[in-house]
Amino acid sequence: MKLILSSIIIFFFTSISFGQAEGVAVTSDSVHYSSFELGVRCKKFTGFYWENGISGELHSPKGLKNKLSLGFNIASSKVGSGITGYEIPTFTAEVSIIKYLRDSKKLKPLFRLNVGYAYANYGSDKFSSIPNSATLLSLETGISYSLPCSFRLVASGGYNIINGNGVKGLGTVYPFYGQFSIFYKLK
Amino acid sequence: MSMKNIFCVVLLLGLFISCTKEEKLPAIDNAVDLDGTLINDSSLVFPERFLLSSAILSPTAADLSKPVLIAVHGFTATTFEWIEMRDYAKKEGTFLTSLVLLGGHGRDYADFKAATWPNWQQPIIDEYTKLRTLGYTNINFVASSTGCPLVLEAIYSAKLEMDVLNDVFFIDPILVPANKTLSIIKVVGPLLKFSATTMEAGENGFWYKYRPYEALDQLNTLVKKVRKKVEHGVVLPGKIHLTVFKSNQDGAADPISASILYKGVKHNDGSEIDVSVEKSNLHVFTRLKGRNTITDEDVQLQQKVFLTIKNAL
Repeated sequence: MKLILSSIIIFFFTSISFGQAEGVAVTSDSVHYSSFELGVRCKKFTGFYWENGISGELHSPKGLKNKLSLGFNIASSKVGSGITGYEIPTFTAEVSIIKYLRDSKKLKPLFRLNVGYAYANYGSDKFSSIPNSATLLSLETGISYSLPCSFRLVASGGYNIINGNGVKGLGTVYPFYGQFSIFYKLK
Repeated sequence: MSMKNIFCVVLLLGLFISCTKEEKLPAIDNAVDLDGTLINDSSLVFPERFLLSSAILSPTAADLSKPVLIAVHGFTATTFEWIEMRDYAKKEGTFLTSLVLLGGHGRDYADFKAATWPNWQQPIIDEYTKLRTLGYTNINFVASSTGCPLVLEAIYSAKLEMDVLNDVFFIDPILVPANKTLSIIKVVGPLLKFSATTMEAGENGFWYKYRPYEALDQLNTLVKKVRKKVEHGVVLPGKIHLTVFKSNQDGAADPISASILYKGVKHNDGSEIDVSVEKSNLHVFTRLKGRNTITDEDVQLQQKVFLTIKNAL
């Protein structure tokens, strides 16, 4: 699992570098221009916490043969359910591969594979024998809608293939979740 | 297959499921299962052996001077879960016990299915109120699993008069279930109708084997409600002192439940509650009776916790 995670991270950052180079190389009138979007992601586990954070997507036509996009999510319950209460602070970082259908349309179905890492802070050494971190692997599907002025909305639902029961795996990772993101195209 | 065809198939499946209205019932064996109509919890027949308010109708001054420990069992269980504590208290002689049977429990499948979590909770409130009315001045709780959110909810919702309530002990409290599928019980429940559990031979007749989805939905409602309340902060009223014992490999109540209690619940003077995470793979590790395999460590842990409770009263 660690090997898969490492490979995806390396692939992701290699693609970003490659995509940036491509962005410089292509001309502004090209229909296959690289773009990078940054946004806010609000995620809610079914029956558990809100985890909010930032999300980014890279659409690079040559690096990925114009078929897949790459993404990342960094989120925490500290800026979700835990803003006002005593919730367990959770932190997640994921990288993603995204496939958009109907690519030229404003409304696009999407499929997404996320791989990442989650950590929870239980607040005391008393809980040191309880698992506090886990690898994440999830599948997501939903829709994307492009707005004017470089904004784009995404709503999707996902399933954590690796979820936890507190004995094996991290108990804060619930199987089902929904998320809403808003992206702004930076370049 | 086109999108239209997929839509039609999903629609037909939905219609088929919604038309399948006949009640699916579990294969209850009346001779063995508590879920049947023949076997009930003994406390329903002999309440005086379990409930202090029934055992001593007119307590003496000597009785009233003793600490009382009200023991509350968990979801699908019965008073059997605290029999060993009752026997321990009898042997020690320094405190009295009262074993409460939760509402809807210890009877049959239909009763369990019909009961709501406030129904489960009511006998706890009733017994505490009776004992207080009889004049006991040092009343304490020990609760296991689902018994813990039921007791905590009764405390923070002021369903109990707090003046004679002192120590509260939680064993393997559940605020987060280990099986996260419980969070989607409203979706999968109507399709599944019930779930069956595998029990060890010595547990037959003391736990419900079949869990109707209505009861699972009530459990989900209760644990979510209490967890959210705790996450917004609970200050225990009066002189209540809370101690939590949590098995670190509990396959029923996620051990993070203890962390949520630790973060969210404080004593009246602002001090932290006591939490002890124990090395055990048992759910409700204080109950060893009826289990197939018990290790020396299990026995030592049970006796350590019993002694801690006795000394605190």
